[in-house]
Amino acid sequence: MSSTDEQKIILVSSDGVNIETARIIAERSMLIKNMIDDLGNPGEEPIPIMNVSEAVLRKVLEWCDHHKKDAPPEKDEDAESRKKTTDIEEWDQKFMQVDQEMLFEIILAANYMDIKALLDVGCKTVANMIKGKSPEEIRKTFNIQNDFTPEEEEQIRRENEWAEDR
Amino acid sequence: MPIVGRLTVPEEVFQQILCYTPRESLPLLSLVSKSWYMSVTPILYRNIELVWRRTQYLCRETLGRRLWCKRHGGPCSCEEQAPCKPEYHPEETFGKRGWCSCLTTVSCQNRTYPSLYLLVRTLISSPEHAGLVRCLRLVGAVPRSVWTEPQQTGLSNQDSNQIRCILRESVRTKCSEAKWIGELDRGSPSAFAALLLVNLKNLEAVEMGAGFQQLFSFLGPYTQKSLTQFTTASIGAFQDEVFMGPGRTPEARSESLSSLTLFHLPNVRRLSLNIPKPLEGRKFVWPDMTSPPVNIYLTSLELAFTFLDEHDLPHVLKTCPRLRSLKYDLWTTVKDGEVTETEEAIVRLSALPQALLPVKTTLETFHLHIEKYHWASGSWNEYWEHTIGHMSFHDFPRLSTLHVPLQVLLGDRTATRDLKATLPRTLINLWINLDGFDFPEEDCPGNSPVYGDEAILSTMMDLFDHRQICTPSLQILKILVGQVDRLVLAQWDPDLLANVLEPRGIEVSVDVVVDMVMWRNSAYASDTFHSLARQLPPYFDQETIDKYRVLEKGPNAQDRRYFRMMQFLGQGGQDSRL
Repeated sequence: MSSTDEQKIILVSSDGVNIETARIIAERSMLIKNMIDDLGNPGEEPIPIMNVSEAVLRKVLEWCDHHKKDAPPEKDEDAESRKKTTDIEEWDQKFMQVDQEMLFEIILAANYMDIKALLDVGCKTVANMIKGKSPEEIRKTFNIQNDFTPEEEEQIRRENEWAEDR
Repeated sequence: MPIVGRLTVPEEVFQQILCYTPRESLPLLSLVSKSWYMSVTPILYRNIELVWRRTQYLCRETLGRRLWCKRHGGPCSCEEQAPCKPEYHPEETFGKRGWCSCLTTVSCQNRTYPSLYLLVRTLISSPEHAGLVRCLRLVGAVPRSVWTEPQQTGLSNQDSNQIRCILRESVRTKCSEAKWIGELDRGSPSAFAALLLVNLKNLEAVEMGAGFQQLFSFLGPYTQKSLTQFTTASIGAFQDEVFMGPGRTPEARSESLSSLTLFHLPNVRRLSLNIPKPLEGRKFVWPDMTSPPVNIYLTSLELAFTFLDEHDLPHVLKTCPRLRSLKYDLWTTVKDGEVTETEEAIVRLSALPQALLPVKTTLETFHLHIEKYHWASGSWNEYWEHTIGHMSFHDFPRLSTLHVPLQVLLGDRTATRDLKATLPRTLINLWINLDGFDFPEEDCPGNSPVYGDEAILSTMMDLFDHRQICTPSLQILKILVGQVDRLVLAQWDPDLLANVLEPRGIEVSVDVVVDMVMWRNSAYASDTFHSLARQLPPYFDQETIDKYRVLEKGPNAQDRRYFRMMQFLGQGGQDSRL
C-alpha cells in the first residue's frame, strides 16, 4: 500500500461532482481528516462534502494544495482576544482576489470543512475590506440594505458615543 | 445572523471577522444594519476599556537640570511632535518638589478623550446594554478636568445636567448616601465608576487605575450585595503609566481601607490592590480583618505599590488561607529630611515568615519587591540599609516560583549565606532582582552593589553545582538587573552574567535569562526627582519586564564583556569577597 502522502481520495461536491485529490491535501480539512479516521479504508468510498459546490471545493483544494506542507495549526488561542495583525501572505492575498460572493463561499466552506488557517485568511480579507470605511461605504461594498430609520440610527450613534474617536 | 449581500454569515464566522477589525470601528459597524447591530453590540459591550493616554512632561529645566521627558501612551500626533519645552511649564506651576503640576495643560489637539460620562449615560439608561458587560477597565493618567469639563468629555452642558439628574435619581433609589451624590455632582471619577459597578449586574472582572482607589468607600456595605459575581478585581495596582501625583497613589493617604471589602466577595479569585497609608498620625483599624470571613476561593493576591507592611500583612493573609500566588510590592517610607531610619522605614525580613504563615502550605508563587519611598528627598543612605535580616524559603512545601531581591535570600554584604540552602526543593522558577546598593564607606559619593558580579556568579555557580540535591526541579533562573544612572561606583554587567551563567545553565538544564531593566535615578543624583524616578513597576510579569527592558548596550559591549568574562574565569570563578 502506498504511503499516506500519495494516497488518493475522492470527494463529492454538493452538486454531485467527483473530485480526486491527495489525502495529504484533503486532510488540511479537519472535517475530512476526522471522516477518514472514522471510516478507515481511505480511498475506497467517495467522501461527500455536502455544503460545498464544485467550484468552491476546487478553489479550497487549491489553497490546501499550496499549504499542504504548513505546520499543523497551533493550539486554540483565547477566542476572546482581539487579533492584532491582519497581515496576509502574498500568495493568499492573490488567492483571495475573487469576486465577493466567492470570497464568502470560501469562508463558509472553510468554516464547514474546518480549515482554520483558510478561515483566518478569509476573515482577515473581509476585515481589511471593512477597515476605515463608513457605514454607508460598508453597505455599498457588501450590498447591504440599510434597515434603520434615521431615528434609530441617531439612537445607536448616541448610545455608542462613548466608544468613538479614541 | 448577519446578512452580507445574499448570504447569511454564521454568527461564529462573523465574530471572527470582527476579531480582526480594530475596536474603534465597532461603533461604525453597528450602524450598518440591524443584523450587524445585533452581532456587534455584544462584542462592543462585553469588555469595556477606557484608556486615557497623554504625554507626560516632567521638566527639570527650570531647576537647572537637564530636560527629562517621559513619554507615555500610544499614538497621538502631539506625542510624536512636541518636545518638552519650558513654555509648557511656567515657573510658578512648579511644585515644591520640582515637578511640574501643569501637566494637563499640554493639550492634544484633535483628540477627544473617551468619556466616562457618555458610558454612564448609556449603561444606566439601558439595562440590556449594562447586562452585556463582563469586564470593565478604566485606565490611565486622568486629570480630573478631563472627566468633567464638557468640551473634553464631549458632552453639552445641557446633556451633562440631564445626566446628573438621572444619576441622582438612580442613586437615591439604590443608596441614599449624600456623600455619593455630592461627589457625583463634583464629577468625581470614583463616584461615577461606583455607579457603574452597581448597574453592571453581570460584571465579572474590573481593572481600575489609582485614581479610582476610593471607589469602594462609596459603595460601602453595598459592595458585598451588588458585586457577588466578581471573580477578578484590580484597583490601582497595575503596572501602568500612571503619573502618581498628589491625590493618586502611592503617596495618597487614606482614612480607611475601603478596598479591603473586596476580600469578602464570595466569588473573588484574583485580587490586585494598592493599599495606601493611613492619614498622618493615625493607624488603620482592621475591624473586619481581625475576625474575618475566610475566603477559600481567593487564590491570587497582588499587593502593588502598597504600604501594608510585614507586620500588618498577616491580617490580610488570614482571610485567604488557600492563597497560591502572592505578589507583594512593599513600599516603606522616609519622611521629609530624615536621614536616620525610622521604624516605619525599616523592613524586618525576620517578621516575614510569620506574616506568610497563614498561606505557607498553599503558596506556589511568591514575588517580593521592596521599595524605599522618600516623601521628599535629602536622604541618600540608600536602598538596602532599611532592610534588615534575611529570609529562607526552604520549608515552603509547594513553592515553585520565587522572585525576590538577592539580598532577601542572602542577607547583607557581611553575611556568607548559602543561596541553595534557602530554596525549597520544589522550586522551578527562580527570579532574582539585583537592585541592592549600599555605601561601603562613610562619605562615599556613590553606591555600589551589595553583591557584585563575582559574588553573584559564584553564588549561582554553587547553586548549579548542587542543583540535583537542592533544587532538582529548577528550570529557569532569571536575573533582573536594575541599573542606577550615575554617581555609582560600580554596576552589574548583565553581559558578563549572561555569558558565564548561560553555558553552565545549559549543562545542568537550567534556562538562564539575564534581563537588564529600566535605569533608575540614584537618589543622590537627583534628589528632587527621586520620588518620581523610584516609581518603578514591580517586575512581576514578563510583559512588564519586556516593557522596561533596556535595549541599548554600551559602545564596546562586546569587548568589555569578553574581557570581564576572561577575568572572571581567570580567577577560577572564585570571588574573594565570599
